[in-house]
Order: sequence, then C-alpha cells, then structure tokens
Amino acid sequence: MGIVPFLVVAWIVVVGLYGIVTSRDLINQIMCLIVVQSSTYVLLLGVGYVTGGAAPYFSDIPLTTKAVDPVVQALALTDVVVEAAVTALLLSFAIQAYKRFGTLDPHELAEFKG
Amino acid sequence: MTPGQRRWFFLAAAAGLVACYLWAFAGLPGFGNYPGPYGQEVLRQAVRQTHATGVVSAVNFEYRGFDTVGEEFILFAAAAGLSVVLRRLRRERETEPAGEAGGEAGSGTVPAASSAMRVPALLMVGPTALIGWWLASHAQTNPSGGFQGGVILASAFILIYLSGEFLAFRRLSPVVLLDAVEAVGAGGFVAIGLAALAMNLPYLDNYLPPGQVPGAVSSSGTIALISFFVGIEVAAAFVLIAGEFLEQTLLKRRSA
Amino acid sequence: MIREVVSDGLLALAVLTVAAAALGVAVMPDAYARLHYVTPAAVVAPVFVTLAIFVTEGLDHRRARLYDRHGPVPVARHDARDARPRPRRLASATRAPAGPRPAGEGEGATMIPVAAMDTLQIVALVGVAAGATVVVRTRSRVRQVLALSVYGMLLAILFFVFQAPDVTLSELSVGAVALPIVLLLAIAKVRKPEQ
Repeated sequence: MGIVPFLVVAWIVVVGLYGIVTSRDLINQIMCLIVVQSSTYVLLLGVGYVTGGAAPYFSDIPLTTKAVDPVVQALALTDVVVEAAVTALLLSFAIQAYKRFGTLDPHELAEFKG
Repeated sequence: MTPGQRRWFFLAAAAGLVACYLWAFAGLPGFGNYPGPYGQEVLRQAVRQTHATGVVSAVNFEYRGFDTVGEEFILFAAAAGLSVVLRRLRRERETEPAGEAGGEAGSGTVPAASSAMRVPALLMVGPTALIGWWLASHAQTNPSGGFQGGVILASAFILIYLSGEFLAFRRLSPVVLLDAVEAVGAGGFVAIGLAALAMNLPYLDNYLPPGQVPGAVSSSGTIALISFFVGIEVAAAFVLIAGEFLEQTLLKRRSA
Repeated sequence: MIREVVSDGLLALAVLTVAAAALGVAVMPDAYARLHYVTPAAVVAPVFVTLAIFVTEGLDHRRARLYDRHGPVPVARHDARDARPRPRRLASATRAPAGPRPAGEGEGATMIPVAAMDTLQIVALVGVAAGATVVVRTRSRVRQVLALSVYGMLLAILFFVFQAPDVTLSELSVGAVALPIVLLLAIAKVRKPEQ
C-alpha cells in the first residue's frame, strides 16, 4: 500500500500523454490533457494522507483526533475549479482554429504559418 | 516522422519518464506516513485561532489567502481571455435569437428539448441555486466553500438553459451584469485584504471578530466574507463561459 | 567563498538572459517572432536560478533552515540512524501554550478499520486507473465526453475515500456540469458545417 497511489499517478500521466501524442483531433487532445491534470490531484491527496486519519473538519469530532493534511486539500480544491476554466479557454482556441483553418487535425494545423 | 515511429519514440521517452517518477516516489515516506510539520501545526492551531471548524477553508482563505487570490485571478483571466478570443470575427454575423432554442429559430439543426428534460431541469433550478448559495456562505463550518458553491450556483443558471429557454437564460444573465458581478467578486476579495492594510495589519489579515462559538456562521472573521465573494466570482465566471459558448453554438453564423 | 562567486555568476547569467529576451520581444516585428523570444526567459533563466540555489544551499534537505518573523528557528537535526524523517516540532510552537496534542496511533476518528479503508482505497485507485485508460482510448468525441464524466465520478469516489470531502464536491460539480457543457458546446460548434 505504500507506493500504489503513486504508481497510479505515474500510469495516469503516461496514459494521458500517450493520448495527446497519438491523437488526430484537437478536442481529443484537450480531453486527454484533462486526464493528465487529474493525476496531480491524486498525487497531492496521496502525499497528504495520514493512515487512520479523519477529514480535517472538527464540527462533530473532538479536536484531538488524528486528521489528514488540510493544506494539500486546499491546493487540490482550488486547482480543480481553476483548471476547468483554463480548459474552457483552450476549447475557445480550438473553436477559433477551426473557424480559421477548417480543420482540427494537429498535424495539418502545424503546417500553417499564422 | 510517421505515426508509428512517433508512437515508438513516445514509448521510449515514457519509459524514461516512468523511471524518473519511480525514483522520485521511492524517496517519499510512503502513502499514509505524512511527516510534514506544517499540516500538523495548522491542525493544532486553526480552530483555536480562527474559530472555524472547516480547517481546509481556513487554510484556503486565511493561512494561504494570498495563494487563493492568485488562483482566483487565474480564473478571472481565463474568463476574460475567453470573451476576447470568442469575439465576433469580421466574417461572422450574429443572427437574431428568434424563438426558443429548439426549432423555429431557422437553423433546424438544434433539436427541441424533450419534456422529460425540461420539467426536472426547471424544478431543480431553485434548489440548486439555494444549495450553491448555502455552500458559498458556509465555508467555515463544513466541507464547502466559495469555489464549490460558485460552480453549483452557475449550474443553476445552466439548468435554466437546459429547460429549453435560451432566451430566458440570456435575459437573466446579461453579459454586462455578469461582468459587474465577477468584478465585484474578485475586487471584493482584494479589497478585504487592502482594508487590512488600511488598519496597519498585514495584507489579508483576519481583522473581523472571530466569534464566540467555533463553527457558527457568524464566526471566523473574514473567512466567511471572502468565501462569499469568491463564490459569486466563480459563479459569474462560469455563467459567462457557458454563455459565450452557447452564443457561439446557437447564434453566430458565418455570412456567405 | 567560491560558492558565492559561482552563484553570483549564475544569477548574472539569468539576469542577462531575461534582459536579452526582453530586448528581443521589444524589437521583433511580428507576434510569432516575439513568441520565440519569450521561451528563453521562461525556461533558461529559472534553470540558472535553480542552479544558483543548489550551489548555495546544497542538495541536502536536512541543511535547510527554517525562519519565522524573528529570525532563524533552531530545528532538531535528524539522526543519521533515522531511516524516515519524523515530524519535527517547531520552536515557535512552544512559545504559545500548545493546543491539545494530537491523538496517538490507534485513536483515529474513522469508524472503519484501517484494513477495510485500505481495500476501499485500492479499489478506487484501480477504478481511476482503468477510467483514465478508457477515456484515452475512446476516440469518438461525444463518447469521450461521457467517459470523462464517469471518470470524474470515479475520481470523486477516490477523493472521498482519501478523506477529502471538499475536493470531492469540487470534482463532482466541475466534472458533472462545467466540463461537459463547455466540451459538448465546443463539439457542437465544430461539428456542423458553417452556414
């Protein structure tokens, strides 16, 4: 159990990058990028976990109970919402590229010079 | 480079990347053995200092409030950039939104929404807005906060669109109002921090009274206030994003 | 003495890189050439700064100093016998009366025994790994959006068994509402022929 979450993180990163590299469609690539971003959330929460710890909310448990790390949860929480907005920005670029060049294939788009 | 060569090259590089990852993870203390002093210290002091039982929100809006300002401005910039990128190009014209988004608009390519979707969506608008508002204002008591509450509040507006009424959606969330609300949310957060400066305290210090009972709605000082402002900013940003995409899909056409 | 000289040299190189990149950005005629000049400032200069930090502080994390508002805080050094670093007490924690001490090993608040929690976590992790593979292998756009929503729900389950309910809430609301709507609208925009 010591290293399983981190193996899963490495797997998600590699699988997502494989999807980006072998994809022929810009929107497909953006969705694989979402998968790669999700690996960071798993990594953050995996680093901060304490065995036998509870969630760091003390409204109904005594203050002395062992709890998991709240700082990485704060990071992951803002991360999730902000990266959704950045994904929307990426999609708007894809839409404009389609309107301008008529194609969403990254290999064909790479040949245009502006 | 052919796709097959590209794939093999990637697999070789990925093997190197995985090796580096495993080398890095072998240096970690293992899952469940969290050694760091900062998290334990925050857990010890947070409830006593801020009277907020939601320690994650206390970390987000007070102990690391400065980082949250930065994250919120990433969101703000993304929404603003999206509005700029999806502006009307020279070759496009905007059709008049005649009729509902389902048939007699003249496009004929958007199918009418079925009643099985419209009625539940309409029924859920009120409860969703209420839940989003509740989450955004109760950051200090339970697992909620401005970010989650804002997204759920935005989804209430999106449900209005899903219940078939794009015109109602547009009328209830005009772009000018959304821009103003988003600016108030982002500016409000910064203004709370600057007000602390005006009182000779460090930026974003918690200067409101922390309240008597830990975990009550009125306790925890500026945390609840900041969370509310963040909630309306996130909601306005996401409604803006959804509105821009909806306009692109439903209204804008290229002129012949 | 020589450490300072080397680190100063590296920092000077970083400053020169950024200055040259700024000059390039200001002088170039069009946007694409300008973009080429942003890269050295964003990539090369931080590498120089990192090398300067390594030269000054060394690669050993146990030599790092902690600071609070009044200067360096003495930290208990690790023994060479310690295999794993234990949680350290900061000196600032002993100035104010310390809060209630955290509970010991067997006093966690979870009602579920640790073994069952471990099993749940491993199942959730395997589900997330499988979900990621399915999302990447789906090639049709609309189906991939649906797979991404299911993946979001699997992630939410994982965050829940990692004792993070607020991240669960964020991931659920974003993965069920915000991401699918922008993705599906973008797909609808690029699918139908422009009239």
